[in-house]
Amino acid sequence: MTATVASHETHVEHGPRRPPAGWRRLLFPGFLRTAWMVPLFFGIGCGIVVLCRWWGGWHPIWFGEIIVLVAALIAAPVGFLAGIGAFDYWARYAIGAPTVPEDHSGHGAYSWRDYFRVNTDHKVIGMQYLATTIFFFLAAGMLAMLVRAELAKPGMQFFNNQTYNGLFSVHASLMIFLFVIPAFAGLANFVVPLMLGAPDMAFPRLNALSYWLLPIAGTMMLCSFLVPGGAFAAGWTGYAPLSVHQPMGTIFFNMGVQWAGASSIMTALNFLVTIITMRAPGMTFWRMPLLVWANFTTSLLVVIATPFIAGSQFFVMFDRVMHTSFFETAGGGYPLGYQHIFWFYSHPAVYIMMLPGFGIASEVISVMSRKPIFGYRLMALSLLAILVLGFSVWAHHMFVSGMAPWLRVPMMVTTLLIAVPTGIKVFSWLATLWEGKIAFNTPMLWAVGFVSMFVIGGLSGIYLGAVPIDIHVSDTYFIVAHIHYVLFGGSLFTIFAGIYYWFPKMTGRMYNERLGKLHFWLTFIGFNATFFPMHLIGVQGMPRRVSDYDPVFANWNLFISVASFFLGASTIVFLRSRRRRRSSTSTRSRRSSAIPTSTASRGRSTRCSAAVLANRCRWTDARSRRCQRDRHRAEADRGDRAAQGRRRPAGHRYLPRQPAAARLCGVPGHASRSGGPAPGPDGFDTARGRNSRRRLRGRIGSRHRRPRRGRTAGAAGR
Amino acid sequence: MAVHAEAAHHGPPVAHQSSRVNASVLGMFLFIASEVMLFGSFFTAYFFVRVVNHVQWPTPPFHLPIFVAGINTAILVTSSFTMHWSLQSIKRGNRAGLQAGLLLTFLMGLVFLLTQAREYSRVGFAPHDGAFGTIFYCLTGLHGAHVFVGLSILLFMTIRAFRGHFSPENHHGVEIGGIYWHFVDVMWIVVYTTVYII
Repeated sequence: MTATVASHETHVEHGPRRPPAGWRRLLFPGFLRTAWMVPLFFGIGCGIVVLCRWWGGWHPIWFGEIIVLVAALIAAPVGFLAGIGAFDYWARYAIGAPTVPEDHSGHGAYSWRDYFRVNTDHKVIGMQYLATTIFFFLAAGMLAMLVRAELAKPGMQFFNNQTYNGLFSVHASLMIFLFVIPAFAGLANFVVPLMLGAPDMAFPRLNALSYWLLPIAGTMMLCSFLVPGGAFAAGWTGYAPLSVHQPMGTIFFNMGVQWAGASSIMTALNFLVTIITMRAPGMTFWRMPLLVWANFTTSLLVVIATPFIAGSQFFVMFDRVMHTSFFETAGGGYPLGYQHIFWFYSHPAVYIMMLPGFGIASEVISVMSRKPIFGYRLMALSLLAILVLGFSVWAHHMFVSGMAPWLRVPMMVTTLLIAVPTGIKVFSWLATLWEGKIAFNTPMLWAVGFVSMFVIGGLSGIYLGAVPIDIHVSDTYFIVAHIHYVLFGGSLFTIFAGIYYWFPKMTGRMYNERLGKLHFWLTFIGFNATFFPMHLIGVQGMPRRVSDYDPVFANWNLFISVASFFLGASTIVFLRSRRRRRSSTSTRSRRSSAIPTSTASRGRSTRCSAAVLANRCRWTDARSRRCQRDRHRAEADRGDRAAQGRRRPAGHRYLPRQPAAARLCGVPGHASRSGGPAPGPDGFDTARGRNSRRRLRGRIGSRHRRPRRGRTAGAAGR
Repeated sequence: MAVHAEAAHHGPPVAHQSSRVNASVLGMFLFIASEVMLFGSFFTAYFFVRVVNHVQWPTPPFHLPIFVAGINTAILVTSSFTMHWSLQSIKRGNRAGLQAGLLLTFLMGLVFLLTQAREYSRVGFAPHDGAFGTIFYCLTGLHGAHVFVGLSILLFMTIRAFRGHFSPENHHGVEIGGIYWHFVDVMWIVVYTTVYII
């Protein structure tokens, strides 16, 4: 059958390409080719440096730091990417050669080895992201344990000052650039195309490339411990001119940030184009799930803001390598400029690290309370408000930096203003929970934990936004407590919520619910025990980023250290709860507002545009006549006569009882596969029976939208 | 039945186009937005040095070759027109116009870059000669790097044009590369105005 089908101009093979035998294997994209391409590119980098220095007459011709920068941190990673095959298609395209079809979206991974290749399937890439980011999360967590070990007692225990500074700098950089930001990108990679009804991301090869930049960035930051002088030790903020005069490890930070930044810009661009151009028929912007809205906003932030951190790190590097005067007062430079440029990225970056979490929380809370999100439009608009306001607050990080004093009050006002859209979101979550039928399973625990902890972090943020308090607690542990309540209690909790929520979707298996809950409670307790006391010692004046402290704080610090080890140990439960337990319910055990339950989890992607839309109609657009009309049009587009035949009369507000998703996605035997009752069209499991759905419909219709009691009652009674 | 229909279609299902904008064109515009912000960070540094710190511009012993750079600007601006010509040609099915336009654009870009390199070697100061030199070299250098990237893209486009890969129906490759080249061009006008003229 398949052989007779005329192939398209870009023919796509099924399954991964098999490597050829013999020496040609060396040319096949993969780690074998990487093994000789990395040294080759390293050599080329060295050659360029030596040639330029010889030609320009600079001495010495062989200069270690520049060799490391150009050859090891720029050329060798390019060689790695070329070796692993990230550029193969483009290189052939560029010179006009026939392009070789690769394994493409929808083909996915056939064995674990496929996860170590350049794979263009968004689901595989999502998994690659998550696995990588969890690795760096554990590494960065270990560094935090070392920091706390040093701080357990006053005086110097294990490390000298420089090493200690390196530990917390690398900890923060890894957590921010290699865990929080890309972990959200990974989750979104997996679910956003599914939610939109798109077959894949807009640029699958760019997607693969942006993943493969991450291990480079992470390795770079970790390897900075190995170079003479130790790791970069100017904090993750790397303030100039301090960072200009640090040992060589600083370049590893500068370049690591460039690679990670390039990765996140490319991913964001991909998300934006996917969301704008690849929505399913009828999936308007105002019907998109809030997670998609959140990623849309985040991607805008990334595309606009991230170049600024690239710029700031370039400047530091130039000041160091080329002896320019960006931040050197002697030459007319402006040291404070670094902070302005850096925070112009890094304040929006805290929203880059938080908005996708908002999206996940909206998704989980709404589904687990069995209610549509409260105030859908305002939730989306508040994301946009945060986007706009986020660019106008950067200098609140610099109240004590000696910047122009008139800048303080405007920045304070805009900072406090951000509490408004954030408050809208928090209250909308609460209103969603209100009178919901709440299922306190693991993802919901994380989501609710996130709301409560994020409120604490947000409130201390309002303290810090006010100039007088900020001046008092600046550079104390109060800041450390605040940032961890926002990024740990905020971002990390939502990442865990997302991982547990979509784990069945991603793997086709259920996690261990008991261990998941245990993981949450251990983390929750450990987290609060670790970071809450930091508020207290911070207000009393214990400075951050110092390896020694006044013995007055000894008791609290010992307590915090013990609690942090407890917190670290709770991660073991997380890893353990990943252990797979076969579940008969499989992917359909998870209720979902946005992903049709029958969408294939692994392997072939299926396009379920009409089914996706059918789900969205219920959750965003209860006045859904227009939505229904669009859905039926989408069905008609697909020529799905069966679905049309069974269509309810025009104007009916609810979906056909048969799961449209199953028919549209061509999943054979969908209803009978589990043996039990078929999942409802809204993706709910039907364990609770039809009545609960009916109740829900009544609620959706009557309470949260325009009341149309007569019609609702009629529909339920029919 | 549905399974057969799925199997007949190799590769991923065709995406639904939910916007009138072509995905690649939109991607290029977003990339350019990001590039503009990168230039923005460099211009912020320029602002701090020149406006906040009142560094003399150009710092006395040095001066900038405004005339030569002006000629160079004219060359780059002209290359934008030839680029546009080549795109219009292929839209009308005139392959020779496409090839000639791309070649001319490439050559003019190359002349611009070489003139810039020549200027660096003759200008009489280095990046480490104070904040003025720093900003001059970094802004023009950043732009030069973009010209280099644009030239690479032009080279690939030219190769494909001579291999006959573009047609009136399929010219996105020229269009997208062209958008980038126009961006490089417009950016130079901004850099030239701020660094040389003002």
